Amino acid sequence: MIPLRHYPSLIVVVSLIGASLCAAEPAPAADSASINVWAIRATTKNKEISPELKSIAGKLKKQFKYTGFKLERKSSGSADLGKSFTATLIAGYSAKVTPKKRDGKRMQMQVEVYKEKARKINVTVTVNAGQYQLLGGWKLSSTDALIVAVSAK
Amino acid sequence: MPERSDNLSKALNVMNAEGLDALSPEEMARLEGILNSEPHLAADWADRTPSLDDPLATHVANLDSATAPSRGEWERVWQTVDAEAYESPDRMKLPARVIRLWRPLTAVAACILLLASWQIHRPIKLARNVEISELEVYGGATPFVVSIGDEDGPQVIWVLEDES
Repeated sequence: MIPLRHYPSLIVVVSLIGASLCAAEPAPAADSASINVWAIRATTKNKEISPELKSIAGKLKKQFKYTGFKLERKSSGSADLGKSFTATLIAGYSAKVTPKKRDGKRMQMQVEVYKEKARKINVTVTVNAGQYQLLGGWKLSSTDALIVAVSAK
Repeated sequence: MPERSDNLSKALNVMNAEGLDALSPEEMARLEGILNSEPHLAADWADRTPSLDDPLATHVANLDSATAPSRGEWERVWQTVDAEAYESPDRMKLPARVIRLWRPLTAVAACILLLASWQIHRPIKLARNVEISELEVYGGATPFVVSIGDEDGPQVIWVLEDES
């Protein structure tokens, strides 16, 4: 067994590595925002839940008829306030996110979802920066539907 | 008992010349019985030394010949042993150090993997206190704002498409 005198250095090494992994992203410039868009497939065909969605799957199941929730695609980007970031989703869908205003820890953003070139929704929401807003309901098949999760900070 | 003496002498001579293996088990048992019952006979043979018919003994005897290593060869051998003896403690340390370190290193690697997997699969955090300032749907769809969880819980903007 390694002598006790080496444990502090090991702890420091592990802590440094952990801190680097968990380190908060650098704060974006005041006039821009970093944007995340997730495309989620809700289905009645199975009960598979992606790890990132485990915390909300139960709540979604209670409200909607779907039993499986799979995170199919993640997109990240940044845009200046008033400018758009477009993320390709799945099955021909895309999302256009425009950060409008930052007010302290709150972020106002406009979200548009398109199927090919046809716009399906246009919504402007104000949420806590970095937290996700869900939009969904577009049919992908007789058993599947699209849910879009959007965040900006 | 002359006959017994003759037979005994013969047996003892065979044993002396060819070894105990030349006697049959019955002859050996009889010989042992006779020698035990007549101590004076055993005493006659007590001062005789066994022959060196053992293979090992033969080999040892042959070693005393000129083929044994010379003094110089022995010196070289001992010098090599001494040199290796000084190096071996260090050589032993390195592998032992590595072996002792594998447990804490494995623990460190496991911690790193755990942190990395948590980072990669960070759970989604839904927004509460959502303010919707504009909402428009197209193609005859109907929007709903549905709360999931408790009353102040996150809200999902759900679209019911026109299926007609």
